[in-house]
Amino acid sequence: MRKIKLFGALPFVLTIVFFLQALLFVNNASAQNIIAKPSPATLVTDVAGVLSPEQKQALENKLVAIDDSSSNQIAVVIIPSLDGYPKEEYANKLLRDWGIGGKKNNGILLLISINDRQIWIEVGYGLEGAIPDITALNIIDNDIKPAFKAGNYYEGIDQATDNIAKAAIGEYKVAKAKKSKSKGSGAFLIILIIIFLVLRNGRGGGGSNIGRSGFSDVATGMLLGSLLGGGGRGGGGGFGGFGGGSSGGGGAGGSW
Amino acid sequence: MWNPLNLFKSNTNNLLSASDKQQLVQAIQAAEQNTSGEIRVFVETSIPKKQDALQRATEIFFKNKMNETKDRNGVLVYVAVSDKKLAIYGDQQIHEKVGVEFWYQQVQDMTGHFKQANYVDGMVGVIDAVGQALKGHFPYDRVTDENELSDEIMMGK
Repeated sequence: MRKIKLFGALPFVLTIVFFLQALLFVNNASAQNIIAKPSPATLVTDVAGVLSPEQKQALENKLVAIDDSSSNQIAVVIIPSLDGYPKEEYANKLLRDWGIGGKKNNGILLLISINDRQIWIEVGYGLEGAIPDITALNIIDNDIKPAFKAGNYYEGIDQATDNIAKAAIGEYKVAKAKKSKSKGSGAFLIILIIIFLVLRNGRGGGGSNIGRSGFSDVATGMLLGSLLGGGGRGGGGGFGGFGGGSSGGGGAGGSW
Repeated sequence: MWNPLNLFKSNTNNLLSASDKQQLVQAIQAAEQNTSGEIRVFVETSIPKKQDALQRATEIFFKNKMNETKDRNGVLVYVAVSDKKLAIYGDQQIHEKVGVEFWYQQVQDMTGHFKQANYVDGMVGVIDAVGQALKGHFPYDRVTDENELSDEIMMGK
């Protein structure tokens, strides 16, 4: 009997606890319906399934090469629907939550929502100077819309990411080259320059030659692999993730 | 002694009755009958701080040595009840076969059920779908296959 008395206040406390929890959940729910970061993270995420596996891999390889050579991280996320979100808000949240572009904030997200026909390019503030809104809108209008209207998703995304990469280099690249010069010390600097030159050659200056650059990509990969001790970049080539490590398997998360 | 954690414990218990658990175990056993793959379910109230559902699922996956199956084809379904978060994590071999899009699809199917409070249906559905995928890539071999991981539902705090 004594025990039961002790528990007398419990239902009341419980009610308050659950009420508070409920309040918190309502707040969370309104801002957390974006898709979760895949694991291992890929630069191309096609939840809507509009790209063939080959197309997806080609884009992924290209974006990994851009990430490696310029450290500008371009991610492409294709979703079926925005679930009623404004595209700007969804893209901004996804860019931040996934950590695209890392601490330098030099990430760019090309967000495409298939069913509601929405496209948005969200630029991390490290690159806002290089890619102002007007540039982003130009790329959407000139590269993406005409191709998408014809049903050519891959061509549109391929063109757009080429031009985003070019625009990003316009400003960021210069700052980066200066930095490595001032730091330069012996062999490390030479290795950097070799990597840089190889990537430059392989990439043909950022043009749209990705489709036929198979050999140079492989060569780049091999050289990079041997220089960096062959860690984690074998085969089709992955990238280190948006900041979190991967552990072999993979999965996805979500909320209800 | 009254233990505040019991609040949460009773919460997970409310979510899954004994017969619910039984139903899930049966679904796992049915799914594993056709494949060498292994499926487990972990349910807890909330995700520890500074982790998201997928990170937590990955942690549980490795803590429970689900990465030590012979064919590296274990799959963990993770649910955090109070946080209303869930995740699914597959070991490297099955992940290579099905890809990220498959996991997304499963998460979407599950959240669809969970929104309507059909927790058991949601989990049984995903267990069936994962079972089908495993069956396609890792067929069951009557001679060599053994049940490598327990089918019991894991309940966290």
